[in-house]
Amino acid sequence: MTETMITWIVIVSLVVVVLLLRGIGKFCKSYRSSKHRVHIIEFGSDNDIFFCPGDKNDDDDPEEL
Amino acid sequence: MTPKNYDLMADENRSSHIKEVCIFLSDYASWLLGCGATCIRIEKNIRRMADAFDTHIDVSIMPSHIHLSVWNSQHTESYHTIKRVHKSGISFDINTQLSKLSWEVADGKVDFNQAVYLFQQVASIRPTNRWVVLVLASFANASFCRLFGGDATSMLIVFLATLVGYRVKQVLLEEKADVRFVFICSAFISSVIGASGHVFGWGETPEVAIATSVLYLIPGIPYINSVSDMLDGHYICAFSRFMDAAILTACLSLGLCGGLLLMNLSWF
Repeated sequence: MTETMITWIVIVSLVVVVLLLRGIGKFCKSYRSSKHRVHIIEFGSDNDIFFCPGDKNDDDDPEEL
Repeated sequence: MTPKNYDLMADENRSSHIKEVCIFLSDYASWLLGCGATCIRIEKNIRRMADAFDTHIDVSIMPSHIHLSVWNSQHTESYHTIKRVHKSGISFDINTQLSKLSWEVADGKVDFNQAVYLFQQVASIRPTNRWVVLVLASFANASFCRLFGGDATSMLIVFLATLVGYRVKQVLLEEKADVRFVFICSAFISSVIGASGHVFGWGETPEVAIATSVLYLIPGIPYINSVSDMLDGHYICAFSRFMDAAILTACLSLGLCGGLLLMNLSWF
């Protein structure tokens, strides 16, 4: 491998890494600021897991029911 | 109300109309200048609309300002304004929409209030998605490579060189970097990637790949506009546009030379 090849690889790698890191950073920032976060794995309560629409929710305000 | 009062109100209405027309036309002209229209187009468009609004205009187009005077049809009242150019970036879409608006006004299809509304609609046009522009510019540059006799490998190299270089340009411009520095960096990176054919021995036409890898940075529209302005006698605008384009071309050359030097490539 010649010196020119090494220079080429270093320059191109640096540029690609910087662009990728910036892209990932921006994606993470927008992900954190978004309201609808998607959790692949999370701990939830039994009520959340077994809730069916129409079930009585203890948190509901009886005045509004 | 006495007849004298009616005359005063009519005078006020006429003055108000001239003022509104002047502000609208100066806004219109500053947008047109900002989106890359030539001086002759700006003059023709605003004169066409001024005639339709029953007014006369005198306009002076400077590189970064528009001086506009609007007169009533009897040349007894006038309103003057100086408007700074609106920096929207070169956009053929806005240019076309604004020209279309001027024809609609001239043909009597649109009155003054509708014209103001339509102008606001045009002013709110969002620029084309940057990712779409990035990919299309890369394909366009790869096509240039083919036009100059490059093979498929060189086309692929030019596509990638443009993709990375143009993205660097977008990122640096988003970070508000100086446009001359942006051109040097983009040209340098594109030329280094474009030289991969020489460095690794890929393809049959590596010299075409290097030469066409930076073509997307050529400021073609300012060059063409400067010639158009010169032919029309707008020498200050013509010189300004030419110098802007020449400086950017010099920056492009600097980046290209840096890339070639680093890749150990001889000039000739």
